[in-house]
Amino acid sequence: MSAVTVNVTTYTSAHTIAHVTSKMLLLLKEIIREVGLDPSKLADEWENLERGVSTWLKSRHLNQLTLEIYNPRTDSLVSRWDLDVIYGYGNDETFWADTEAIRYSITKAGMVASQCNYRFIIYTSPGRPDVSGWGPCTALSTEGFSRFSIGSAIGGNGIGTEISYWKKV
Amino acid sequence: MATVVTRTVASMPQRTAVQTWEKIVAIVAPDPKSPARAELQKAAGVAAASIASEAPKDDGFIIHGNGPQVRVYCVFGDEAVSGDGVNEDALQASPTEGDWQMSVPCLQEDLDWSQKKLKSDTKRVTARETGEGVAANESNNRDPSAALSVNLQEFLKS
Repeated sequence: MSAVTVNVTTYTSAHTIAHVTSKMLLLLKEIIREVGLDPSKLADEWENLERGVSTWLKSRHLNQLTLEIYNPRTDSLVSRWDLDVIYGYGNDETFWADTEAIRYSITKAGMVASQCNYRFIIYTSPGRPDVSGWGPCTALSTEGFSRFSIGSAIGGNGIGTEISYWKKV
Repeated sequence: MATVVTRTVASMPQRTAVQTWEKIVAIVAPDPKSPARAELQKAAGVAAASIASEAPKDDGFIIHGNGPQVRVYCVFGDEAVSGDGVNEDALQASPTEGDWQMSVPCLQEDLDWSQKKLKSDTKRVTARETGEGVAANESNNRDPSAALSVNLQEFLKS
């Protein structure tokens, strides 16, 4: 009888936070690039975003990370992408992210004019710890827009992310 | 004879993309007050985007120009957590002193903006498409005996 050695990887909550945080930012990069905008601004803000998202995922205050694409001349919304956080999602010790689904959905959501600008908004529950570089803001109006759900985009052993976009109808 | 030194850093989910970059910087620019640290900080966003895309899995960050060429790869997933294949040991000599350059691996779809962004922010860090190499002889082997090692990932590819 031969012995069989099986290596089992045990993931911790820190692994989940690192995975979901990095993949949420990866999805933002994919969306920004695929809708026709320059991800350079995201690169400038990557560290701030990572600090905010990981801190509030860890404290479980993070509810939604939003990418607002707007017309800088009129300060009006052009398109919006929401990454909703789901706590208690799939406790099966698997980590995954589906960027292909995003690319497919962008063809439906449509490209935006290259003159558009973008910014990031994080929605949190009350009582969140403060994170440097982040302050209160008001989201642009979504009046006249409809929200379309794409579905699950990230899974990470207890935390998942569902993605949706807003389009003018 | 050109020499190549490799290191392999544990990335996601052991570390976030930024934490992975910080570890890479600590290896290639060990002095926190060095000019190289400040220069590499300018490339943090593009580097984090590269890491999040898992571009450095098979195509390392390449540092050349001062001593042996240094290639820093990343491992992801189970390997990052278990530490299999990870080598984050300090280098014998800093490759970012004097006249050095770093090349960041980028997926083809990220190459254009990454190159433009790095060009506007830093004179020492550039981006290349995954699959493209930097010639091993693009280094000054001031002390060829100092750090000669087998580049296992390149060897296994051949």
